Amino acid sequence: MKTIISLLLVLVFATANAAENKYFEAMTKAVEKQKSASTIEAFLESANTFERISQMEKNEWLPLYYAAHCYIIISFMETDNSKKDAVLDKAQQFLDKAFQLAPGESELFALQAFLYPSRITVDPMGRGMEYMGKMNQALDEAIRLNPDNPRSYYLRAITILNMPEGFGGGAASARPIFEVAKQKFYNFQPKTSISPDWGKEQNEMEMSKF
Amino acid sequence: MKTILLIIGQLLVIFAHSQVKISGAIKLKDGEPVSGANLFLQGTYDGCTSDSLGQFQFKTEETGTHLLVASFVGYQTNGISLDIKDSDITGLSIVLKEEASELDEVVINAGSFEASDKKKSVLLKPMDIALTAGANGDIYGAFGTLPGSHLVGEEGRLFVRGGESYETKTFMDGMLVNSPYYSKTPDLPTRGRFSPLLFNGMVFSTGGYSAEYGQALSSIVDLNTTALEPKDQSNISIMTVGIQGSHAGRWENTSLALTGELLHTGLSNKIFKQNIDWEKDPVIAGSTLLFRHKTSETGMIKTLGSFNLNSSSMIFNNQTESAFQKITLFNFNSYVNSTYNEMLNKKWMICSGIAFNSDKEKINIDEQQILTTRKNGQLKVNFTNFTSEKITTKIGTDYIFYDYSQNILMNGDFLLSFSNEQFSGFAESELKVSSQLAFKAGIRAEHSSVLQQSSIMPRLSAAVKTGKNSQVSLAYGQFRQNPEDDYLKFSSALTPEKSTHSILTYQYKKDTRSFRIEAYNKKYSDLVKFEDEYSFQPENFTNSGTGYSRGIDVFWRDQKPFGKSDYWISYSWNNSKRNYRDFPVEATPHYVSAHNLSVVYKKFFMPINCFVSTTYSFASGRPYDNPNNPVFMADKTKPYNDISLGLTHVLYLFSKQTVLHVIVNNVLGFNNIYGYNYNSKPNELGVYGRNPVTPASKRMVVALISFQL
Repeated sequence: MKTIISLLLVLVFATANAAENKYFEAMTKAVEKQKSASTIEAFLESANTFERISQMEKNEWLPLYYAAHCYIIISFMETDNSKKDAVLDKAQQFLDKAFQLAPGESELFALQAFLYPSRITVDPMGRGMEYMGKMNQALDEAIRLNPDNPRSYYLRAITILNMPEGFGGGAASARPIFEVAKQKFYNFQPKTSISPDWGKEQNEMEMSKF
Repeated sequence: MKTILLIIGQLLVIFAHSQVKISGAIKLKDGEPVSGANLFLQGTYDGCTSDSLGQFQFKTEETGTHLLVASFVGYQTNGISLDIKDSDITGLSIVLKEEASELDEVVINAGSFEASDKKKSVLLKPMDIALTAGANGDIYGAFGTLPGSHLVGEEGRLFVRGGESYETKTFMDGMLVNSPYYSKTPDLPTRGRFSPLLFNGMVFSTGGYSAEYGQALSSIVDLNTTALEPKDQSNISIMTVGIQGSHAGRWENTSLALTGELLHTGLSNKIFKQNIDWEKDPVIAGSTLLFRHKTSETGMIKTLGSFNLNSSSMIFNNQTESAFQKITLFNFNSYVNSTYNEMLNKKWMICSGIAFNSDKEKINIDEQQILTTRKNGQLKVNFTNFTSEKITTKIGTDYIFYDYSQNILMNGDFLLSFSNEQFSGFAESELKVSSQLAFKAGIRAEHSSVLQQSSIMPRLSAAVKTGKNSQVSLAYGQFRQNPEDDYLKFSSALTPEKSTHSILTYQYKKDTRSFRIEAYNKKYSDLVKFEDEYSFQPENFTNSGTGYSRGIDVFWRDQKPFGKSDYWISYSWNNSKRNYRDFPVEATPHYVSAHNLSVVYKKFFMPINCFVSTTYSFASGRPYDNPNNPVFMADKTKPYNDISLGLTHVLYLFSKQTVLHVIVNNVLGFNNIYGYNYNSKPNELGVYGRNPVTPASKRMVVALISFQL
């Protein structure tokens, strides 16, 4: 009888644990898969996976974060200007939901700052000023919330690099910020194995061009 | 014991449940496969992404009834219910429909041109207005390059579709701006008091506008001020014609911005030969304060306070009087408006506002003096109801008081004055039958205390999609406007002037290209007519004037993305005649040119970091009355031509953003003539002498350097 009861208890706990493990497992697999993605199709597949996880785990901001991240990358890869906004709207929807769950999360502000320059590419003349301001605001907030988040610095550096020199951009102005980003990446330890941990390679790749 | 075993047994069964395969294909209505769509069982982890042929397949351990959801960016999410037992489900077919985006929705827009950053359906952005060459950074100058407006160089105000400048009214955040232009001296253009940079949305309606707007016969300009300032910043600009500075402060939900300017054309007038003999060069001093406070996610309080004064003095060759006169102008204007908008709940939105305007103008003509004071105040409340997705209803009421007084010291001391209280109410409903078809019906009622008259005006409009990228829009409306101050001060035994608009518009917009053609017919009645413009006899003024105006406006724009070209062409044809004022017969008024053309071209030159804008404007000859010709208003000026240029260069000086901006008007130096002033008496040969009305200088160059501090 005792054996049966303990067996029963084990089963009940196992089921409860399984639910949590299932989330972690699914995320680990999805994050791994996203890291190897390189085409719009692959990122879309990753985005879909994260979206499926997000609609199951309604209190987790990470699936929403990753889904938004995938769509932002897709928007940068998309060459048809008329589709970009729809993709970015989708990314923004995920971000907005994530902000509701984790309003003080530096990573979300950094990701928001990653979204804005893609909006600018649709209509640089009309949107440049507005979204540049918004982007800087988001980065300031990301840095304020967590000064050790390396992605904020990497994103700031890359924007400055891509701005024309006449506007205060260019390699010379961007370089010191890349250096800061490099240092921050070096010291950065993600909270969990599924927490945001991207940008280090990109940062080094950009720096190797100098 | 048995029960427990049974439970365990059942639990084990759940864990050991065999997998079921679910597969099928996803496509669009026209059969095209959708690749990359997300398909999943709602409430589970199970799902997949469709492949390049739209095929999908995934496994699940679930049983029972589940919803299979299909979603894809830009398409409406669709779902089908599945009853999962222990066999595979194959051959499913799911069809996705395109999401109704803003661009695919029909928009009622007959008569109106909108510039906005937010809406996708518009043809212009606020930046376009600020950077149009030839507009000199003036809102009205930029609207002058749009179809429907006439080029009237000696005025600088908007003349729309055969209508006089007073027939266009300006609103800021829905509140009336009674004196939107600086005071003007004879035969010289004026400009708007407000900088285009204050606004992030502008509507220029050339007719058929909503019942929310009244007291405008031809046209309205509605300007939406910007929301919160993005951040703390200061700015200083040094121009060849003066200096401007601004400082903005930003807190979490509040921002405050202060700008000040001092403009003096003395230096510029010395460099560019003036056709005017300036006794004292024009000076403008002004300041604007902007306060913004966000009260909630949807709520905003906006307050704008502004004052400015302008003065100038010149020797005017008064051809009519055959005399040189010293004309000195002094104007002081202050304007305050405060608005509050918020969603009260999910169904109701409130828009309310209060505004005050005071304008004092002193004109000295030699020893004579005319002192005019205009004061007005406004209260306005609108409620918008969103109860039904298909019907939006707006109701509102509006109260305006207006005090006018004019003291004329000219062979005696005369005081002319009147006061008016204007009560208005309106209701308007928009019915969206589908994304393809929409109707709008409104009614406006007004009562004027000085005229002791009430009027009711219907407004109707509709729009229907004629294709994925095109639509047809219609508008009809009746409009009333009180007679101008210059007549009301002599007589209150008048009725409001009336116009009736009928408009038909076709618009096509695809990717970077937009095309729009609009035909209109406007009928005027109850226009003020008189024998003598300055008579103290009330019976001198009647409402027997009539007129018509019809025409076709065409707009084409092709806006290639960054680095490539962007241009627009606007052409207007107008045919209008009136018998009003002191006209002996029906004739085309002096401000109407039958053909108006503007070509605006903009390009950003990457290698030199320079934004270049050019505008070519053409207007066919305008009629003028030649007393030597027995036929009234039968002569025409030669056509008007102008090419203007604007250059903007952004650079970093001392690691601060610096903008260099140069504008050149009439680059090629066309000799433009706006009309002629004739002597009131013939010379000894029986011929009336004349003097042409020309621009103050042939070319104008203004340079500006702006630092961000």
